[in-house]
Amino acid sequence: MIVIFMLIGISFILGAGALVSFIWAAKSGQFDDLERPAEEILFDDFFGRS
Amino acid sequence: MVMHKLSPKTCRHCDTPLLPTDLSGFCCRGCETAHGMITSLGLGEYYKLERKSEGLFGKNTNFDCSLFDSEEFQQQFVIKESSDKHQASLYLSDLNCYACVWVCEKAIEKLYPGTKILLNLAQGSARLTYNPSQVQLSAIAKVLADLGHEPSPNPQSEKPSNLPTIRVAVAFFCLMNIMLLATADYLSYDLDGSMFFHPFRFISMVLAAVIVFFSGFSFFKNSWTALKNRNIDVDIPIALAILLAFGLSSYNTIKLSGDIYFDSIAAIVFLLLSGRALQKIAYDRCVRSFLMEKSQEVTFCRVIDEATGDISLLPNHQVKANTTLRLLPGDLSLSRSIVLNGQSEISLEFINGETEWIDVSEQDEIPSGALVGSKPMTVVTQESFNDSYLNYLQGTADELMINKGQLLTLSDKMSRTLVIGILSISTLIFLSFLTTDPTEGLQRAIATLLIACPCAFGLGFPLTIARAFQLGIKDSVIFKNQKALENLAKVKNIFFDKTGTLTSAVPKLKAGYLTEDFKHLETLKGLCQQLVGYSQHHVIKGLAQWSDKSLREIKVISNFTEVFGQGVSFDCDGEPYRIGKSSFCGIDSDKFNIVVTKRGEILAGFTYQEALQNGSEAAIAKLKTMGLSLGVLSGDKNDRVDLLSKELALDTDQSNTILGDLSPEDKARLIAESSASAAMVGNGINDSIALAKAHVSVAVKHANALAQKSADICLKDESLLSLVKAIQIARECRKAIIRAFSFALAFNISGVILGASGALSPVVAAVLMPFSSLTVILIASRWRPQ
Amino acid sequence: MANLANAGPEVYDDRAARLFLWATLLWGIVGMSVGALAALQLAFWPANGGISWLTFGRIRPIHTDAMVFAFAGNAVFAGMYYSLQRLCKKRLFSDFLTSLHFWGWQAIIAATAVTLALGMTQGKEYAEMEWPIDLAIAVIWVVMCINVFGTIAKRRVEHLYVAIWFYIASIITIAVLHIVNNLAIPVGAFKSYSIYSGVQDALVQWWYGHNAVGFLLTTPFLGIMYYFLPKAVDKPVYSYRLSILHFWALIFVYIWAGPHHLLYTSLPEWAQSLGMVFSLVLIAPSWGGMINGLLTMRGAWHKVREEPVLKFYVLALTFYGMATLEGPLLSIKSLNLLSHYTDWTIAHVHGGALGWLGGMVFGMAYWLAPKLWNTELYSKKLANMHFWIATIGLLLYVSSMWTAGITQGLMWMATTEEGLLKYPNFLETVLALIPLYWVRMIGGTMYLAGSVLCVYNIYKTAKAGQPVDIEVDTSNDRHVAPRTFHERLEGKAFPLTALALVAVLIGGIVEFVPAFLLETKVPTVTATTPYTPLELQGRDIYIREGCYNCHSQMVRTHHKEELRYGPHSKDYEFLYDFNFQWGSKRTGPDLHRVGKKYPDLWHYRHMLDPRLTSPGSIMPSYPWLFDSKVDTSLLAAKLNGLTKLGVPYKDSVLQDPVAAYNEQADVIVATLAAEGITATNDLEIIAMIAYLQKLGTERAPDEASH
Repeated sequence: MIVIFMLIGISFILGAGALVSFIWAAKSGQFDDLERPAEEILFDDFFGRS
Repeated sequence: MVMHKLSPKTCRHCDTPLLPTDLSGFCCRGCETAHGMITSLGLGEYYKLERKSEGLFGKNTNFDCSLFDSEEFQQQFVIKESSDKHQASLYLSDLNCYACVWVCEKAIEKLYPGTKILLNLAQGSARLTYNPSQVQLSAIAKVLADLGHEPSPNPQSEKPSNLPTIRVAVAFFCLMNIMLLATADYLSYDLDGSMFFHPFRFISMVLAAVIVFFSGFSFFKNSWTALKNRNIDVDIPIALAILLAFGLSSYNTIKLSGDIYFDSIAAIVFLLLSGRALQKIAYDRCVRSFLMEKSQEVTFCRVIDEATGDISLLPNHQVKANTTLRLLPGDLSLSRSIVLNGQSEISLEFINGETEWIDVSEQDEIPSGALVGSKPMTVVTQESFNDSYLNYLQGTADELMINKGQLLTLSDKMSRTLVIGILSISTLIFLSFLTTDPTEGLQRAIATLLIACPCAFGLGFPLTIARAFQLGIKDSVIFKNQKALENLAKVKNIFFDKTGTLTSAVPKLKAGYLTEDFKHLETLKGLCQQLVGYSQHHVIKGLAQWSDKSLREIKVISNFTEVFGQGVSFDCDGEPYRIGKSSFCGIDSDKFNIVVTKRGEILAGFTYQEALQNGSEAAIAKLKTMGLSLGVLSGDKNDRVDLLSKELALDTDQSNTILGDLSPEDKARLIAESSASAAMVGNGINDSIALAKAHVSVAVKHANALAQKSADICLKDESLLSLVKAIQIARECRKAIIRAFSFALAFNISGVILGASGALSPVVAAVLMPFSSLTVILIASRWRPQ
Repeated sequence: MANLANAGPEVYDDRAARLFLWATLLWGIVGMSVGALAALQLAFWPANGGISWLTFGRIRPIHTDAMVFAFAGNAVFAGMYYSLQRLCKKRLFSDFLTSLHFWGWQAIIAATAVTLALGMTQGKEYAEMEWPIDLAIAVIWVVMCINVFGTIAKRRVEHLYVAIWFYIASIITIAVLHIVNNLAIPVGAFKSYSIYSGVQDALVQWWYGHNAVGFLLTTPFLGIMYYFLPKAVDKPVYSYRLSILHFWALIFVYIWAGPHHLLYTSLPEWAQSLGMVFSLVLIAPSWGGMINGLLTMRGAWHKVREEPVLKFYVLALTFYGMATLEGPLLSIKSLNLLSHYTDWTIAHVHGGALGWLGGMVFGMAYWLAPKLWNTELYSKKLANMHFWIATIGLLLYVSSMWTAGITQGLMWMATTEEGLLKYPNFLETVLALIPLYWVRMIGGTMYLAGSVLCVYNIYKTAKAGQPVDIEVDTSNDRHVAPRTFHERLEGKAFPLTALALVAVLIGGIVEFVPAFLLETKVPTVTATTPYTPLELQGRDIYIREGCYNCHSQMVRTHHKEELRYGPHSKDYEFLYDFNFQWGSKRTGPDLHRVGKKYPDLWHYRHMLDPRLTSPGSIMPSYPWLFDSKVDTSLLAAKLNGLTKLGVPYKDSVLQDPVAAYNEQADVIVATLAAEGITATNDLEIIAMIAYLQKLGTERAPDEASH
């Protein structure tokens, strides 16, 4: 059942990758404004015509 | 067929409903300017968007943005990255939907293409990157103000570090992985024989090391600083428990035998960190709105250079004796000074609360803290600002606030006792086993530390306080810190300032004299209704309240001018009208406080009557039923004070102290002499020392910036009923803390007894611990004031 | 890779969304028709017309792979390419890569359909494509990664909307899953052996199987929901903070939940419990998504009455909630004992697929078509009709399969008072289900009919409309020329990290794992012996015909199961099973103890026509096994490949495999001749019989008595 180590290893790498991207996201200000994006996506139709 | 009710005409900018007869289509001049700018820039879609905006009521018309260009002023919020690239961070008022964000960004982009602006909807702030040689900051500020979002400096130009969020995320990641590897133990599969047993333990050890030394670092830092200045902090038992449990578990892992508690350590660290993160989020949202207003306080004055005569800006505390200052209507005179030229009126409203205006002309002396009336003046200061009376008021308020900070809050006291108890018991257990079986002793000591886990005060108290903050915001009450909450709960008597707190700033006008001609009266009432759209002056508001809301046909009003502190003049149907003080309207008799004249001939005369702040009778009545003794301390004359107390039925109960003619020092002295738990509710600068002195201080909605600064609690709603709600929240919060504490105490005592007697293995302790935190969290976050 | 058409203002590349939308709908119809045919064959077995490439064993994988990779896959690409550009305010990174990705992906689908029909399959569910197609998938996936991460790196909006995070997570995780599960040694043009064997292969396969569902059918569609639902309702998502929270929670927890497909098998018990616990933990993040979606509809529920788009989204979200609750419950061991291998699993899969996936895809199609062709939807009435037909079809399908699943589960385990099996003959349990198979077939065909209406509706909309280029709002461009080193790095960091991760994984795994696995191959238990050349050839025919689609090879560790099949399967029995064949469905009985249970003659007549030996059986007949000859040319390559994987073949066999093959074949030919059957030793049926007779015969003697 050696493969369990491999699977846990890969899942661990994926998990660590997710953690690294979370830290990059936090550092690069992705969580600074959590109210604007929700409404902003409703506005992209305007620019097509304005 | 569905009949759509004919919706009343609404303001074309902010949708507030208008009187059907209103032709202009705008509720106020502010909306008019905003609408003009938006349409001129071709951003018409703004009005097709779904937006939440209220009337501007002319807020943006008299916004003075020259200040934004001065070097000193920019110092606090502009970063000069290079000569052609400056970065400014601002707070914007009323930023409450994406439509506002969209229109601001589009407007700036169209007017000043080189400038980059990014608005943050959650924090109501904006980051501006501009080239100072191409565009003036004040110009951008003017555009934003015209759109109805007045900018003000945002001192936190650098972003708050997001290290705590990262720590919680790392804690979650490690916790999930450790629990994954420990599931076999939970489900009692003996992995001992298989090849997975030890590798899993070593991986868990590494993960636990990450969570203890990276995520849990703040616990060690707090306990270290606490130990350094020798006081007990909540984090000490936590840090100790974590370190000990980690040490023992690692020892067992390396020794390849014995129990490991990596999962319970990870769980503690994660639960505590997320508890504190939740409290911080609630606290930030509550204080953010307050931070925005505080930063709008102008702390600069205009100095005239004798030689060149041009005006430069100087921070207040740098003003020395005999410097010539230029005072504009609405400014405060910083220090005692002599008028050089110009003639105007001053009022000592902020010093002693009376609202009369005193005429001053050349060579007259102006006391410190006087409000300048209708015309600008040039004055020479006699003393530097630092030793002026205004600074004295400010200084004492700050200093009193600081030493009030030292008092320990209720939750700190409770947690201290719990901490000392746990520490002593666990050391006792360890020592008693030292001789016979040290590892067993250590095991039990850790079990006691773990089970007597700090979830109650580590998690329960912060969440209770956060809950109170949230309830406060909902009822428009800002608790500035934890002490304000706890002191308000214990308050026995409350002292009110009269002017501006109990009484409303908008005076109640009684018609003393009216022309018989009925037609005039109708047009007069219609006029009063319309004027509210043009000026915020409290006299105009009083007139509007006097003329009941019946419908009148609308007059065309032109060249409307307002003279500060005097009155207003305008033309209506070609006839010149004046409303204001009798001297301003050219009437010599001063029988009335306010007169209305048409072409110099008197139409109506009104006398002042102090109107009660709406909601004060109901609030006072409710406060009496809550077992509080009430008092009034005012700088106003005694007869007015007695009149008011009769109206509020305060004089019936002898224990209430009703006093007038008090200087700020008398007020502070009276409060100090009263029993320990006294609250002061005020609004003016003259109350700032009393507010700072009081056990807990409350500033009402329109309180002066200095009063708001030195108050523990700020009411964001006009009516005093929010004060009643604040007291109810504070009392319920106190009960919730006691409930949480007593549950934790009971849980810990039973845990400690079991731990000490060894009947409780650390693993079971670790499993019980989350249940205790869950119950504490439920108790802490589900209470509601009746 | 400058954009080809960059004259004039930058416009969105909606050609990608249009192409992928057409691919989604067309492959959807193809996949569903194959599904309907397969369902018909279960209810009425002669429906394959005796044609080898139409039998159930071969068309079921075509149905599953077509629905997962062609229908859902193309829909994800359509939704992602449309929304990514709007969320980044940037045209796609490169037109060339977009077209390469589109045509490459359609070529892969076509190749998969053809090779699976011809029986060239790896025999691993949802990863049946043979190794050349796996490589093509990896290449096209990398092409897509460059395209997507390039667009994100050049984005004009600083904030990555939550949908983009879902897309990123899906892309990277699918790349890792695909690579790890498809590591194999090629032994022929379209034949390979997985580097894992037996229990390890099972664990890796279902770690992939569960997470492929997780990261190809859930997270990208949550991403699509977070963009297309607010747009359809014209209201912001209910709580953006909750969507961020539930995204990160889902990502950290989802990857562990594989083993719940292997409960009560010969997987170590603690690993099974681990899978169960973490599947239950999964309810919280999944339901976070559903609640956020449903609450986004606040204030717009009255529109659901006329709007077909909103009807489909509501259907999708409700079935997403139901399926993500049913899944974790099914992974509780006691419930799994009843539901595993039964049609209840099929009900769970199709509740999620027809409800959640179908709902999201059709909702997105009806909302997107008017936008892509700049016109109104051809007929809203038709779309509403599609909704009602699809919903009724879905309910018929799922309720019939629930009933069938529970009936099977109970009948298999039913015992009389004396403790004997109430239904010893497995066929009785199958015949009880025939009416339910008819209901399921009708439900599935109704769903297919609905989809045909959708294709017609979208086609008429497209013909009426005229695609128009929509300008990108290039104002407020965050992407000011990167000044600091950090910003320049960040621009490139994203694609670099993604590709580096993939490269490292490929390199690392291919070298170290085989070596790592091999040294454990020293047989600790001598009971099992490698498959002889004849048995190996029979096993490959078993895989080619897709017998695992109806038969399992895993007697579970439960006494009632042992009552029916014999001693439970041990992990060492599957030591040499490269490409394990445990299977996940028992339309037919479990075969792991069938070795030497029936004489060769029984197998000979049963494979010719199952009705001869078991009247009423719905198993298709395999006449082509009796006239086509075994191609022994690949035999040497197969044995070398397996030796590389550590199978200890004796040198004598390796020198002349054909001799060993013929020697064993002649024995079988002799036994058949004794019964009056004349057959030559190179027929495929001989190899098949040899393999079937070996199944489960090599249990260690001490435990054999049990």
